Amino acid sequence: MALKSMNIVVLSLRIITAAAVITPLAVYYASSGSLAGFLFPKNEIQIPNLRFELVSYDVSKSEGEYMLDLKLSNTGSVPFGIRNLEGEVSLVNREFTGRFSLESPIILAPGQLGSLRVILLPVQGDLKTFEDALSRDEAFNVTGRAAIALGDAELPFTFTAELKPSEVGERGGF
Amino acid sequence: MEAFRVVYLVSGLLFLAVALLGSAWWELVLGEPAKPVLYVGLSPFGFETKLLGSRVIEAPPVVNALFLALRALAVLGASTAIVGALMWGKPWSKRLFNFRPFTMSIGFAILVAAATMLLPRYACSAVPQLAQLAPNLAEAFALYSSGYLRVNLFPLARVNGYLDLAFRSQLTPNFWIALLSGVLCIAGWILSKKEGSKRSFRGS
Repeated sequence: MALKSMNIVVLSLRIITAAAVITPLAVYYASSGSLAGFLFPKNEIQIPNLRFELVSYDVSKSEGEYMLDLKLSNTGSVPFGIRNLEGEVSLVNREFTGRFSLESPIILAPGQLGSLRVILLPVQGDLKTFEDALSRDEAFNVTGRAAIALGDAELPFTFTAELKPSEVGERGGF
Repeated sequence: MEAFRVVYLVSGLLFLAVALLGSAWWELVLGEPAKPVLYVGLSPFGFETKLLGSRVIEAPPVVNALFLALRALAVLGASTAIVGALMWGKPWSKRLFNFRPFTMSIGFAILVAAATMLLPRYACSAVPQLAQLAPNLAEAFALYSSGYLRVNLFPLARVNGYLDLAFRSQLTPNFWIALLSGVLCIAGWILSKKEGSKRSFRGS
């Protein structure tokens, strides 16, 4: 009797285990319609379009500091913004170092136009040296950290780059 | 109730909870943990990839079916262990115990460790630009790691510079609960063997 009940339990477990494996495979295969659709369905990967354009920029000087005003347009499909930005800028071949920071956070919905204002304060050297170097298209180093908003996500990062003024205006998007 | 039955029972309950919850056992987060830019979550019961909060890749039906089958097997294994512990003494109760919590959690850890070790190396050798773009990609795709993923800006924008993006890859508490359940089921098996040998010694 004990042996019989044990055999029934063992057999039941084997049947349930086999059903647990086979049933999902059968159901998914039946709903996908073909073997190709079951194994390798044609899925389109939905990558959000992140793109912005630099519409215009303006640099104003007052009381020993620079204010860089960038007019940006979000030409992508997801909201884009800058929540935090701060760092240091220095000339490669001359004595000038300055600190920059974001005046206020900016978030642009798709198709929206807005202003990004960055304040630059000299730490070493004067602004005339910096101005002169930029007008000659001399290279400068930028280091700092930022937090950008991309759709519902937020991306904090640090950055280091060597740029030339002629290169900056050419960039837009990712 | 004997100690080994309590151990089996706790093991079964823990594994049942983990199987029913179905959350990720391993995850990779790029960006702010609360609002990640990229999220990859993996468990024996499911796979999820989110870019900017929205799903980008759907698993093929065969993979979804395998995930569902594994979940059904986990629920079955945990349930039978619980019934076996509660109904100890029946001639068939021993047949209900199994090592599924242990084999599933250890098997998952081995597979993820192998995949995270091999995939970035394979991807970097197949697409050499990827190694140039993200030199420490293999570090980010580790079983357990956190730090900064360095993105070289030159291949993207012809700028001599780089971005450092915060990332974290880790085995989640769900995995550790599943592993604890596995360890407990092994401990229960050892205790039941000891109990059995004690009884046979007394009988002789």
